[in-house]
Amino acid sequence: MNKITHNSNNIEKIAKDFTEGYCKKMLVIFGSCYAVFDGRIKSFLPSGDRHFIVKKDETLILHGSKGLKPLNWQLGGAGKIKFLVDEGKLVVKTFRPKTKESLEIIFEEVYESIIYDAHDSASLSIYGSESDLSNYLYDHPEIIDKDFQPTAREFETPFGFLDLRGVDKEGNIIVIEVKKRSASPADAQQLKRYVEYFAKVEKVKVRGILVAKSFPKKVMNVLNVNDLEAVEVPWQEIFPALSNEKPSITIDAFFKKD
Amino acid sequence: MALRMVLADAKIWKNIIESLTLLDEANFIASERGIELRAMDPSRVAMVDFFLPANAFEEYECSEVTRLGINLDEMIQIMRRSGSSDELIMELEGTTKLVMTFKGQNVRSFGISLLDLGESDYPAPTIDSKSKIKLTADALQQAVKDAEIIGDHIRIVTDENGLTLSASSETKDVKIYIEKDSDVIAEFNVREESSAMYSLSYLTEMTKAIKASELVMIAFSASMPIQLEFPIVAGGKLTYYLAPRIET
Repeated sequence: MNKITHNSNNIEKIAKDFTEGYCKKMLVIFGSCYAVFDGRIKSFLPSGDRHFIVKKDETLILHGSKGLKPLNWQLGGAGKIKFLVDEGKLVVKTFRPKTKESLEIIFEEVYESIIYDAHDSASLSIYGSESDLSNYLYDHPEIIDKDFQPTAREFETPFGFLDLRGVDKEGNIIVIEVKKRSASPADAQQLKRYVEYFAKVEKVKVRGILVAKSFPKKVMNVLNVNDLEAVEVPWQEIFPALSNEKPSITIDAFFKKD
Repeated sequence: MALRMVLADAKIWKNIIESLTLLDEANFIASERGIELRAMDPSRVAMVDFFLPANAFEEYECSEVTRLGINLDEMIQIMRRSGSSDELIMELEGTTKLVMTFKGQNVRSFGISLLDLGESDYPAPTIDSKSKIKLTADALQQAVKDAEIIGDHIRIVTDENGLTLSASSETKDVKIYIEKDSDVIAEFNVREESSAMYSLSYLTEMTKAIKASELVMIAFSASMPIQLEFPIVAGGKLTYYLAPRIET
């Protein structure tokens, strides 16, 4: 894959190369910037170190150093993006004619900029399986319980592989069975076997939590009788892309090549 | 620069504009031939290709090729204010404003600013479609509506005997079979059995063009874009292209 990298010394060159590469290549900057958004709402993002990306379809993303969601973004095709130099600083300007919204990102310093000639025709075909959900919960344990600290995934027991294992702040062991679908009485029974197994082997208090999309009443009864907990996790909200999957090829792939 | 286009029935233009919901904004190009538009939707999965010839208009005057950058939402809102027996006059005022006048029992003029959308001239996709079928737009729309309550995608299969449209999800499925001798089919030309899958959300938008047309020509091949061509009653045509869904 071809790529061009720049450092902070040549802002003019970055603006020129980005303008040339716009819509053809992936444009990436690590740098310190602030941003002003003017539209239905107005916002000002103070200066900070950011990861800035413009994809080949004009999608613009500005990420901070934490968190899943970008600090600011614009969907591809919403408006043209310009790369300019103003008083020695790189300025990225967008304007969305439909809503008359504008975004201006001013880079006080560019640590590194890269232009990738990226090719990717593949689509994500497996996404949102039960193990993806377990992995996601391992990374975001607060969804299950604010005191839950995961220590292991796919933990082997004589009764099968336990999805998640961890501790709470009292030092109790927490064992978790993860289901994408609605919980069944069999899931509760399986969790009960894990709890009994760990209580016997580790000789400490063990909390059992069943994670599922929803809990029918009869499953709740089984959980309550056995002192097990239920946590509802709407996986569709965690993996929203599943329901509105888009075709992965674009129509311009069928234009006659010169 | 002079541009003046008069349509005896404002409804013709209203139906056309309402068929362009895949686009947010677009460059119409007026020339002495007529008015045309070719644009991709923002996700670049679909393309619209539209042409209305000068002779479809009651009066048509265009002194030079003119680009009209239009915010389609704005234009739809205006066209929805047209009355059933209104005449429509579209005129360029200066270089940045289009005036749309409805002439009926009274005269109402709306002005909209033109957008500078830059030049974006796309070629039409090259497709050698192995299956070409002309059928009533209503039959296609009904099939799309049937499939829409079932899934996100529609599969279209042709063989020498007819056309099958189907959709499925985890718990439901539907199959619509149209025989080649059916009354809803006007022309049937299948050179090779073809099967391909397309996104229903796009097809739903595209079949809205039904108001502008009675017949539609479907053309496609396995794993190639589908082309939906709606002839416009007043003259000209509206063509959509939709990229196939890759099957894994």
